[in-house]
Amino acid sequence: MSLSTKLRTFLRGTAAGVLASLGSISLMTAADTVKIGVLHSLSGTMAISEISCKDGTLLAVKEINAKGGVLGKMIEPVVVDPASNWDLFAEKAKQLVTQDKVAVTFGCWTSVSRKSVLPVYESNNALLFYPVQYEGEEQSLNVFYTAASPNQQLVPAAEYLMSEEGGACKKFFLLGTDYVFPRTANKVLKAFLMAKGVKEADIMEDYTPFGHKDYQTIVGNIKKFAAGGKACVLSTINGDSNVPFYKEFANQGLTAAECPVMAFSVAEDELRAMDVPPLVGHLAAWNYFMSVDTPANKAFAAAFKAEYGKDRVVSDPIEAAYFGVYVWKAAVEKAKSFEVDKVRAAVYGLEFDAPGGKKKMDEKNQHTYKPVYIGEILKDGQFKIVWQSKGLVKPDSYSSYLWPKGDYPKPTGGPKK
Amino acid sequence: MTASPGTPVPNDIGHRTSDIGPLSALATTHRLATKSSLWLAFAFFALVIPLSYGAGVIDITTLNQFGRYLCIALVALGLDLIWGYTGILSLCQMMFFTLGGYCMGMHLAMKGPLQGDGIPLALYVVSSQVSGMTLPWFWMPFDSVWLSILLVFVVPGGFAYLYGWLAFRSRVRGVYFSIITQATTVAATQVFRLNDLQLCGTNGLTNFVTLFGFPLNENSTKVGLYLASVAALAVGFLACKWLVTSRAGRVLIAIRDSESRLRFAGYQPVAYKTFAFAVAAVLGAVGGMLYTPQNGIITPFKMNPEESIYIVAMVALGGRGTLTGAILGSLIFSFSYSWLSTKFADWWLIILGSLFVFVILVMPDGLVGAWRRLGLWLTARSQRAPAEPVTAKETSP
Amino acid sequence: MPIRPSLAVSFRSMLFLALFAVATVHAAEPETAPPTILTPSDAALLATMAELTDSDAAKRKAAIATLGQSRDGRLVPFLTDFSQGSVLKVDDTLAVGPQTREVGDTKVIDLLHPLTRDPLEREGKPWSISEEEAKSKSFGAARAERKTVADAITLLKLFDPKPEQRLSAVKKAGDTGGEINVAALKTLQESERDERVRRAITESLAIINLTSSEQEIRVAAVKQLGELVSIRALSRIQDLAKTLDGQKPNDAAMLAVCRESIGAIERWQTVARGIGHVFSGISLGSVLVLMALGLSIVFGLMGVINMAHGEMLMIGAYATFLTQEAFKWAVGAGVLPPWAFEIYFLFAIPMAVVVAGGVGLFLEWAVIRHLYGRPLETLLATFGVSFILIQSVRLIFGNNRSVNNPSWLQGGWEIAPDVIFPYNRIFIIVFCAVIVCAMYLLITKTRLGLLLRATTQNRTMAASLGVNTRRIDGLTFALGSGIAGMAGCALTLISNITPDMGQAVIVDSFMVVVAGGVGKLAGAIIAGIGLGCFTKTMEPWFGAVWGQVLMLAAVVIFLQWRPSGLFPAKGRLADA
Repeated sequence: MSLSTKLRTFLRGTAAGVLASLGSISLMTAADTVKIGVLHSLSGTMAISEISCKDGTLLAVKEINAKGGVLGKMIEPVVVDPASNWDLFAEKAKQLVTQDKVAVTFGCWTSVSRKSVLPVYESNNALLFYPVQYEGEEQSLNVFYTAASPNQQLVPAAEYLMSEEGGACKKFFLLGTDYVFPRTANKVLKAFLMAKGVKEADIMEDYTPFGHKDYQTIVGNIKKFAAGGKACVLSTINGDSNVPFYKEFANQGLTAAECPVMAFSVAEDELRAMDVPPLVGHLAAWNYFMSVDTPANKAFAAAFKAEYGKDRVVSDPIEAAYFGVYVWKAAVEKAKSFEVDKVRAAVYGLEFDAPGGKKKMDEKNQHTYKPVYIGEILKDGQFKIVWQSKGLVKPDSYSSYLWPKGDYPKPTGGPKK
Repeated sequence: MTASPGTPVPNDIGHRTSDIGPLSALATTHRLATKSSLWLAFAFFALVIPLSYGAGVIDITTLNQFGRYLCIALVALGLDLIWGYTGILSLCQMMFFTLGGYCMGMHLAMKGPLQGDGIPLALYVVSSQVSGMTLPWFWMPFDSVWLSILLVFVVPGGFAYLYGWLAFRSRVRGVYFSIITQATTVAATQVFRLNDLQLCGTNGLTNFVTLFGFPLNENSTKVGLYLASVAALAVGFLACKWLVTSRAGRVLIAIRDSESRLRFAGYQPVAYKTFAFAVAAVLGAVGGMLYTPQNGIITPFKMNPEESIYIVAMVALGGRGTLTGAILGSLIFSFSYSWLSTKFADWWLIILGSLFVFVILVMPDGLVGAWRRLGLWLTARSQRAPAEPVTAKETSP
Repeated sequence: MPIRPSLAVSFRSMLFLALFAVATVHAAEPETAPPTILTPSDAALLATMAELTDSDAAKRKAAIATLGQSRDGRLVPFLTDFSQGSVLKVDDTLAVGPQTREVGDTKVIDLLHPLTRDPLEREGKPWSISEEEAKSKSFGAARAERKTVADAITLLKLFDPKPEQRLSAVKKAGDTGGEINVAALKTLQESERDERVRRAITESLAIINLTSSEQEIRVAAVKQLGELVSIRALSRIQDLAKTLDGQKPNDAAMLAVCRESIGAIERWQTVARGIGHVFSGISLGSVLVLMALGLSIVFGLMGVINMAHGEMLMIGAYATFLTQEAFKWAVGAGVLPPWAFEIYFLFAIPMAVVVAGGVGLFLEWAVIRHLYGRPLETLLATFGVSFILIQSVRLIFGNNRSVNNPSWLQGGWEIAPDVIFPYNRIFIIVFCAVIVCAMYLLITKTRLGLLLRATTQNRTMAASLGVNTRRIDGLTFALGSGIAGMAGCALTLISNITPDMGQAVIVDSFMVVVAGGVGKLAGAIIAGIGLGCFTKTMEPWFGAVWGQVLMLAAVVIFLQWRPSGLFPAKGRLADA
């Protein structure tokens, strides 16, 4: 339908890209701008998710600039491509912080990328806003985590499945991609389920490598596991692998009614790349859905579509990437300075309006107070909200299920002594 | 300066030059530049860079970047030895690099923050066990720095020796060998990403604090590591130089040009090939060993197949069959990779890909080859006796 | 003129015939159209349905129960809509609006009759309202009511016209138990024709009987479930046996019956899993064969390793996507009837061949042609090309694109209890078989094949006999790329499309080429299927990663024994 448009955009992009990069060498030294870094993979395996985050961040920047910028300065985003390469993440971060001297960076998706840039931000006392739900167990004074910590996503989802309304599940299959988020998430989930009296034999754990495409064996195992009824799958499968998983799941005759899959990494943006019918009726837990019915949210979705195309959608990480810029702006304006230490202090306890509703930054632990939603996947790739938390949930940087004594490590990084 | 074997020596035409024209002056400059290039390069890296850091012209980040790129150059040097001289195209050199990096990284992690019962933090955060975790046995040796350095040589070198022996013994060569090595590095990536292996999974090794008791975030340590990289590259270069000009080197080139003839002449190519492969692996591993503390993290993603192919591209860009070419190519490649992906976030892959194709189609003998041809052309023209220009074609098998 | 037209045509028609055969077999699901005439009882139903909008919760609950007992399958979609809150009440008329349609910039919803799902009319025209209006006029079950609605739906689905729906309802009723369900199951048992559903009814009733208070009924149920090799009952019988074992004095006879049944079920499980693994292996192998075929032929002929082969697959997948979009557009604009969308996939296959083949032809002309005799350099150059292709596609299409499987390729065929062969996988296997046959015919029976074989065997000799080897090279390369394109098309059935999807399969298909021997069809097929089965058999024991590592190790060890693959080149070529 819009291929010619696409082609035109493509060509225009080419011209603009070349011109912009040529221009950036000479022109962009004006003093009335403040630079911010945007550190998301635009190529490689993670591009599928991260490009949308970059778009969310840039939309916020554009809006803020249209309204006069921050403290009278226009924001000048420096977009770099770490190409899903963790070493390059550290390198690009160094470049942003020490060469471009950005005031703040928005970026990273995977935990490993965050962990690889962490030393850069800590040793230079720079600031990073991280927009993706993650496994927790970390608290750096140089990072603000604008997405969920485990207790804002995993635990409520498991509670929902155990409730009468969620199907009163008794058996839990924990399935994930083999990396740190699923591992830690499942560690938290297991501790939680066992604390709730689920038998160890009724919990099964399995991991697949990144980019795994062949789920025949695993779905076979799930089928066997779920045969007795009252079973569910808690899925932390990442990215591309979801499509073959759900297709195989449906084709081997499993349905959402018999064995629902609760996903922690499938949002609207991922659904766009999927053949949705096999997923209908399955669940996902997030802190934001595009279907949240408020005027502010509709305006946000409309603005995003207007900027990037009618078929684009917004999702939890995009919202987090978007409002992160506003949080930073509000903090800068509160602190009346771009200095990292002052901005950090101003972020603590900040209340703000995000597209998904009112939210608040924690007073101490760098994370964000958020509501929790559980959504059911609909035919059109949207979610129908079937459950939501009462008010905002306080974030835990370290899970109380893993640190029952509460002897959490001290936060790392912070101002230079 | 001894020219690399198999390449034309332009100098012997030069000294018959009688008339002094601008072209002839250029030819002389070219010759001098070629002769002094190595010394100049060494002086640049060993003196100019550290001094300009000392004078505040460049910052520590740039110095560190140079240091890391020199480590990559070491891998390229190793690949040139087996590809450029022996004709074995290995697509898993970065696997050896990463193995070396892991040996050093495990040591650094052991000296970093510990959790629980002496478990390195990097390992602790990714483990699925909630409590009662003990340090896996294979981490134990890495407590000692000297043992770790020894293992940098032994693990990748031993693996390469065994692997090469198996492959070359059954006469797996040419494209077959390339494909198998690529599959190996893919498999290795997958294995190292496994959390159950207790090598920190996809997160890789991080949280490094000290090396030999020196804090890694101190600038002086960084300068020290940089100088160590320069030294390692210099030593590696001299060793390769010595190797390729030695008798064994002649055999390697003979293997490249016609392995069967060599076999009929009574040589055992397997031993030579295996040896060269192991040397290349060790060079890569040393690169990884020095890279890890300078980079602050080492992950299985360094083993991704494309990383190794980048190394091949570096050598092709510089000019294979010339050790200087490997180093030059790797430095140019590393810098342009970094620069392109910043300046042309959307387009750099296309630019890089086109560069690949361009270099291979238009400059089959790389930059060094082009430079040599320029020299020949200048000399020939300045003599006004346009001889048939000798191309460096012989260098490529 | 290497391909004779007649052969080319017959080749294509053969392909199509085979595809249509597959299509029709699986499309033959019974699609009973709901009756459109409203009976008097329907009026009563509609009245009850209208009560769902009542503000009195007790009344609503009663209405849900009445509807649940009505045994009218047409209520299932309605109650589902009700549960999801998308039933509409416009001007006192009850309606549903499942489809949103775009008219210019606004989205409108066509109203359908809640029972018959026929379009509603107003003033002689189809009645539609805007999405905004629909939102304000929709209502649905309160959260607390959802379970009641779900139970009602299960009960209704027992009488759904579609056997799939009945099957899942029967299973669910068995898990839930209860008198209403037992009665409904027994009623259904009398009228049910579908073999699978009948079996599931017996199974569900027996499962319910496991908890019966009478000893005899319990023993009979355990025995029956053992005979049925019911995996659903396995954990229940195991629990039963455990409780019995713990009791003192224990019921030895009952325990023996339980153990016997457990044994029977577990034995069948082993068999079923075995069959499943072989099937998985063959289906994985088929994808590998499709990928490796093209690689192998090109490699055999030109000694060229095409690192961009995976990207040809990706291009084929995107061609499929474009075909789908074209059909979607055509159906939306009314150019094609709605059912046409179901067969877009059959048109996507030739599209994929043409597009990927075309790109291949261009690539050969622009790059590879200049690198003959330098295989290692070709490898590098094609690697660069793969970068260019991946990023270009990413820039044009963006990252997220989905291909929808046609409905006749969804679901699976249960050939025996608990052994399900998904249709998409069956399709891929058949597809692969057809292509292999076509390739065999092409190589052995056509002029192009003859010339191709001649050039592969002795390029110089063929050239001196007047064969335009350059042209053969180009055509072969295009052919290889075209097959990869088809593989990409097939791959959209099991996974999604991303710009770098080719990278994931390329290394495995290299392994197939290496193990099979270069340029040999038979080698590629045997190696592909063999490696597929090997990986899938290892996977349950060692996990996916070690399965792959073992596969690689197996190939390396295999090469110790046969350095040039299963079918090595002989004679002069051997040392080329």
